[in-house]
Amino acid sequence: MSAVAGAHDVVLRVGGSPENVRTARLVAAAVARREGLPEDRVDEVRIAVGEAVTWAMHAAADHVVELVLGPGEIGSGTFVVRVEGGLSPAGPDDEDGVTGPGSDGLALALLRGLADRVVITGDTTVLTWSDAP
Amino acid sequence: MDLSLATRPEGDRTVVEVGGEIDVYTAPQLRSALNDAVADGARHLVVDMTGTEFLDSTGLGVLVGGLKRVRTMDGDLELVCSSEKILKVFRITGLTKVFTIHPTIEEALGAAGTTP
Repeated sequence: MSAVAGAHDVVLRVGGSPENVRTARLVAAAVARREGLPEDRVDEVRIAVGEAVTWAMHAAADHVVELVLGPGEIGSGTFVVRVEGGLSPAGPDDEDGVTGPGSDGLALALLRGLADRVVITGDTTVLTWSDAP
Repeated sequence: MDLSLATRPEGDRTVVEVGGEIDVYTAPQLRSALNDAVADGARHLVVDMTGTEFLDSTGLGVLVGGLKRVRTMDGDLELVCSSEKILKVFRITGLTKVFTIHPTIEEALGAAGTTP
């Protein structure tokens, strides 16, 4: 599967090693900064992308996660991150069942609390920030 | 930036200093440090996150797990954190109501070990 990407988008595929989550966060922050998001919102992107990638990794059969990062509609002043693949309701380290993106999980609370818009369908998670110039 | 962990006794408290990034990759190390402290008899844990630069839901899960664990032994687990970035993660998830969070280690060690 290959994600549809616009000319300004950055597409990232990360394998299932947990250390790759940090790399995905770094790339997401760099692209958000490039798109002109203020620094406090760049921090939100960093955390939210980490969450989405962490839980998408648990969900994917091969643990490979693909992200598309970039401006939304040109001129709309948005920064959009699309994470392909579903989110696992719980991960291997979720001993108490409180962290994952399940209905009342901490991960979902973070996504909703950090991005301006969160749309989760069966196989994609789209996070939107609307502070890009 | 990996995780740095240092555990030391302070009177009847046990301080676990956590530096660096707590995420899905490093959270298991933090869980081990908390479990080891409890196995060594610690009941009043203070997790000093002054040097923590990043925290995600898996890290929160480990802290919640640690708190639950010491509470079953009539202990407590309190946090030290003054970084607005990290505090925001506790606020968004509602965990400021669950954890006692001190701005400095001095304040944490000076405070009576109360749980909210």
